[in-house]
Amino acid sequence: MQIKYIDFFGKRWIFQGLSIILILISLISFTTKGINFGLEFTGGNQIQITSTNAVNIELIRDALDGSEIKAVVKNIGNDKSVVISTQKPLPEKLLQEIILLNKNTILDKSEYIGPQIGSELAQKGIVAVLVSVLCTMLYIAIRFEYRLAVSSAIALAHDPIIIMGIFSIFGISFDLTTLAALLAVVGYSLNDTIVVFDRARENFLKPKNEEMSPASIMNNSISQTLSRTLITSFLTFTAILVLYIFGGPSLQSFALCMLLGVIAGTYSSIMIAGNLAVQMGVQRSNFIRKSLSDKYADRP
Amino acid sequence: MKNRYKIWQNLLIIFTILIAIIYCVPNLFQDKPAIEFRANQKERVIQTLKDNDVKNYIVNKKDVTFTSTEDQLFALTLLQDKNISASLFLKNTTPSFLKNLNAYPMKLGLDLRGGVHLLLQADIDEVIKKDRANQEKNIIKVLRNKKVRAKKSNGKLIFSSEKARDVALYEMQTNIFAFKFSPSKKEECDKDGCKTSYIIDYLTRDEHIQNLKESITKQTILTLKKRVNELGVSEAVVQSYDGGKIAVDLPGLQDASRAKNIIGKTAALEFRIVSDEQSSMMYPYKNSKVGLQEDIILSGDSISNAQASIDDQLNHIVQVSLSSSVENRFNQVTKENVGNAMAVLMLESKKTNTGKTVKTSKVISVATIQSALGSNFSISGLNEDEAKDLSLLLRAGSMPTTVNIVEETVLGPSLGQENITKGINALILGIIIVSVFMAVYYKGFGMIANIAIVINLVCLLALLSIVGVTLTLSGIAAIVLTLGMAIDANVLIYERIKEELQINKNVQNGIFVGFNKAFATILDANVTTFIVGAVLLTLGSGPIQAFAVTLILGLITSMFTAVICTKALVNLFYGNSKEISLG
Repeated sequence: MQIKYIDFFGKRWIFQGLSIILILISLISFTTKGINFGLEFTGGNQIQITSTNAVNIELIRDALDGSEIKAVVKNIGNDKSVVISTQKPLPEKLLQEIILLNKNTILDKSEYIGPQIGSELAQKGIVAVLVSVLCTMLYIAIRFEYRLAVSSAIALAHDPIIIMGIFSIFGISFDLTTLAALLAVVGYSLNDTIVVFDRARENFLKPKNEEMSPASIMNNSISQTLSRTLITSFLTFTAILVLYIFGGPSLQSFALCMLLGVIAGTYSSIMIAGNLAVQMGVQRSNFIRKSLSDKYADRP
Repeated sequence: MKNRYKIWQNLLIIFTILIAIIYCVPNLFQDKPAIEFRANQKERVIQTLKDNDVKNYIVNKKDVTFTSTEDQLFALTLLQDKNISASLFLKNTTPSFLKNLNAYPMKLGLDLRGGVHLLLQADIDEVIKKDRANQEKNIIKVLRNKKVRAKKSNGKLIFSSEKARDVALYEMQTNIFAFKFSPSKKEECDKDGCKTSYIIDYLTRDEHIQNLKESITKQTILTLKKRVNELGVSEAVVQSYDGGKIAVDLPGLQDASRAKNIIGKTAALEFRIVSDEQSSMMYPYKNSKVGLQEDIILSGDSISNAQASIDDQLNHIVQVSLSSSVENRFNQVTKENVGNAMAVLMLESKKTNTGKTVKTSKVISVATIQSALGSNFSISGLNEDEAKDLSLLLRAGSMPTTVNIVEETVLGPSLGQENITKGINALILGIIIVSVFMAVYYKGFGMIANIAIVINLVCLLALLSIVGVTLTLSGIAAIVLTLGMAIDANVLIYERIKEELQINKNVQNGIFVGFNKAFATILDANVTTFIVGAVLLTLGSGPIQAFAVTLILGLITSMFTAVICTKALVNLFYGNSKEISLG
């Protein structure tokens, strides 16, 4: 098998245009539709009940209307499970009544999150994403080159923005596990980008590549790692797809976020990160200096 | 011989894997729901279970194990109806030789087992406010002792002379450590001439507030633990977080309302002297009101035990034992107040429907102090029910401050069971699919990668068990992610070897260089993911932290298996090959 060299840099405008459009759509959706934050972020009360047969939602709604508590009652997954969302926890008596409305019904889950906790979690989440991006940028700047750090950070930020955009457009609930998935996506996408950059550094330093343009070196590096990137992405995608289909409703939003993340991460590390670095003017001399100072640093 | 590990290297790998297997195996023996009872009640327990057609249980010397939580809970209600004292617990079924090696199964989180999770917020501001008021009283005492006059206004003391101020400053600095005192002077001039005032500013020291916060959190946790014990849940976890937040996890417990009633009782108790002065604060007592002095002579958290009982005259009383640390002070105060009435004040905070916290306080008991009281005394003037309630409240420990439930999750056992079954099935299916692909695509090398994945899973489970991580749903997700990364490492290595073989036909050289070059990439990729994991661990909370811990440990094991174990196996099978096939 011979490696095919593909001119990724030549098509950079197509990819970047596509990404900018997707990011713009996401940002517009954030401002107009907003994000459907889950209970953990907004605070409130949620009760999930499951019956062996189809649950009669109207009965539950009537009971809640009678008590003058504002509530949203919805099926989840199938007609046997129902989620009741309210601002405050339901009185114990009312809850028991509701459970008894339908035959063979049990309480699956009851969750109450105070409003203050929710906003704290959201803040912590945002801080965690920003700090992890900054820390990894610092590592790349030290280990590779600052242009690579900046371009990988842009490629990195690109993924969660688009994923959250999709969550926003389709109104999918964004909860704490989704946030964990988003961070995993950041890690995964970074992994892909590092593999490409690692190869780029190696190629930039090869004496026989001295005459080659940075764009061709980057193209070669992406092409050489392409088979690895695609195989890994395919395998990860498959494993998470299994999780999405068979993992049960509790893991579904996590798996969905990861699925989108694998696609976005693979795309951004192949089509965005390397090209950006070249556009920012990365060249052979940047790495030579780096590797020299590395050598000096090794000396006692 | 390029691709050969030395014998000791191979032995070390085998040794590590063996240890991992030992610590992984207990996870095959999951805890069983069980009920504990007193040994002398065994016959009654057996009879009760038999009479009610409970199925699938095993009776041991002091406990009975069940196959499902539903059976366990059903049996508990049966036993409690018969007045047999019994408590729920999870019985560890790990063989004893493994236990001797300290090898235990991983604990399962609430989302995998069901149970109750409560997050409580202790009102620390209230404590700080109260403490400041107390400390200010100390200032007044000190000034009075030294007969120094000062005007107090808003964190400031204003003196008329420099000498008076300096005397006060010295006294306060040596006696009151809660504040930082800083002297200054200020000149104010009007048409009558100039007047100098001498000022001391006092500010609560940060370390004092810090100590206060810590001790309040500690006390609250202690009280919570006592209360959790009353619930009879053996594996309860009480944990504190920043800002006076305390999480209580009660795995397996189903009755949330009972848990909330006992744990969430946010009442704080204070003993105060009844005051007849007009100016004193009035508190409701039965149908009237009673005035109390401001000083708290004893707070509920200093009580070590309390029992309802009857005295010689057949009056209902509560016998109280104090912890030794407060004994002297209490003795002193009660000596000064013989003949006066002492009241027990209960402070409670409740949330209204509009979400506002309303604080209520009421006097639950008033009794005359007969003599100076020591570490054991009794409270009289109660009826039977009052005595019972008061003793229970005192025994269960009262909170040092009011505590609110800010987060509450109740998860049924069936949903937990569903989560773990589906999660693990999906995990296994994912591994199978990936393994088939690897075997087809990379042939022999693919099989080596598959062996490495299995070793990785074993090592990761062992490490998680050793560290004592609680397995949650997000933890399972992290395991999936790290297995993905481990596979990625193998793919990186194999693709690199393939590339090297295109340049140089020497197989052994190709393998050697392939491993070496791929290693640099794998290391970089893992370090960056590690950074993300570490940030999540420090900044995240709850499920995110569980995810981060699993991810970090997974990175470590995947480095070991994907790089070292794979290399060892490649050496073993292909160390002498002149020709290999890599897809």
